[in-house]
Amino acid sequence: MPGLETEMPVIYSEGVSRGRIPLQTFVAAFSTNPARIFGLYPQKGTIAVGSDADLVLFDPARAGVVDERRLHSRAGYDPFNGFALRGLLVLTLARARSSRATDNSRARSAAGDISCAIGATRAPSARTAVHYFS
Amino acid sequence: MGIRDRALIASTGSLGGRTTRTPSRPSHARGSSWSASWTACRPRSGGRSPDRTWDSTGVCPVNTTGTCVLQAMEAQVERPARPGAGRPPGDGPVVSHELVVRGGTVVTPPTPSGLTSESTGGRIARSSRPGSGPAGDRCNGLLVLPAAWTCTRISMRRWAACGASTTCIGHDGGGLRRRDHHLRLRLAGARSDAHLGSRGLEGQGGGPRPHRLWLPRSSSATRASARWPRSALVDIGYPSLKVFMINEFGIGDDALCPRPGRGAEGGRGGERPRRERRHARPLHAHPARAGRHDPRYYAQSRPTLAEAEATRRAIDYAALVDAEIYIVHLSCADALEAVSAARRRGLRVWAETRPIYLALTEERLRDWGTEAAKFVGAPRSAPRGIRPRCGTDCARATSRPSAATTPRGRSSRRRREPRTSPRCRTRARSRDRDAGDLLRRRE
Repeated sequence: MPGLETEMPVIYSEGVSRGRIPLQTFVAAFSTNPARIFGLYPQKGTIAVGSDADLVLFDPARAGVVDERRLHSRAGYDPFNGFALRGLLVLTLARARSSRATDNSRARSAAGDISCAIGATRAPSARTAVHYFS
Repeated sequence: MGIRDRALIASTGSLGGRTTRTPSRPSHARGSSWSASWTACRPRSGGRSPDRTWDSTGVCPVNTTGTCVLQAMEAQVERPARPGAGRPPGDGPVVSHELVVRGGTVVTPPTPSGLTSESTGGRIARSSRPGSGPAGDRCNGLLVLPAAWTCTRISMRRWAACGASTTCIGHDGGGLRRRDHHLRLRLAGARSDAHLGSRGLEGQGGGPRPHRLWLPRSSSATRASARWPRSALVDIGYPSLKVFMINEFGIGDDALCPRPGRGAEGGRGGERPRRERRHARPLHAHPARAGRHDPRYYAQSRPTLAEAEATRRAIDYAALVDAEIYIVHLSCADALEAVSAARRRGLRVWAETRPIYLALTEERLRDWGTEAAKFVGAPRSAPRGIRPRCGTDCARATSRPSAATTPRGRSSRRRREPRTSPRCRTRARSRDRDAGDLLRRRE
């Protein structure tokens, strides 16, 4: 399924960064509204006491050019390859449990050793940890 | 107090710098040994280990690294004090946090009222509002967002890369029938989790599994007929049913109408129909027979008029039986206007689009040649060159032993059969032939 991994930075870059939509709308479109539609709000789709700790750390200042060779998708291509985007997804958490870091350099600068902090079983490979910006 | 495994999200305060070797010791944990607390960092019992590092060492990694963007602390557990651990027995629970996010900006809709702290795992224990305190330390400059959703069956690593923690999974009709009993068992076990499936179907080990919604999906509308145990599926947790509006199997309006009705009776969300192939197929036949497989012809064969008409019909079907409807992959303003008009009338209609449609312009289709197929989202299988990997995949699929199965037990040959395989091409030619006949009759 191409385009999934770049979905969030694309919408952020074209929507939020360009002033077309507010940040709240960005969050609502990705998380809150689906949760409401499927009847899972407020367990999902919000950051509030009692909600599931499903979190995303997003770096809005990071900018770069999408490199489809660095994506995780098996599609082999991405429609936004070569696009200059702003915003990078750093880390995903599901119910407060660790996930994968997509921007290892940013995570390392912030965390010292994110691969250990998030519990990676081994040193992140270039395929799993390097961000999609070239 | 029945609190387990919560997360603390604090956009105020700071971690204390890189010199921090251990997290601050919670006052309520006085009397318990740190070793016991670190041991509590291990994954919750009763499930597979989401983190083999923690599972193998039993020690929280932050204890060895000192600093981290997410200060992974000891798990928040309720446990009686162990004799000899410095606490008298029955001294109450030991409450701490397995995860602390300090710094950053929390972006979330207004907090709903009435939320309580329940005794389920992985929930947020405390959260501060954006801008309510000094900037944090390690997450400074980052946005802390609720995780997104994906609507496809992707692996754990991929949903994490997409920023998603919940996936909606569809099932084809045949697989659903075969696995119906198995799915009943799965969903019965997940019922306590708000009709979410917490166990992935992909059988991958390590790491947390995403929440998953199981949605029945049929590539054949005929399979979605009465043979499906619809009411039973709703009872066991299917939140909605997807209907594909296709003309390949002669499904008419009368056949489609009852389906939203049954979904509405179940009281679990609504229908999710879409697909304007019913209208577009005849239009698509002409350029295909003429050998015009370029993406621009693909787009021309699917005018916005067809999508808008299909959207209106789907909405009308839902309105007739008072069902909700969720339209996916909306790609044109005309269809959006149909949705907006329905919502203004008070109908329960939702729609979503795909980001790639933002870049699907006439100029790109004209100038990019076959590369423009990337922005179509569903490039036609017939033209070679659009998807150069298809040939490789086809060869790989045909050479694979038929007895080989995936971890889920499905035949890999069928699952991996690309759309350009001979059998698929035959079906496509048949459909085009039928559509061409229909078009000629109309003309």
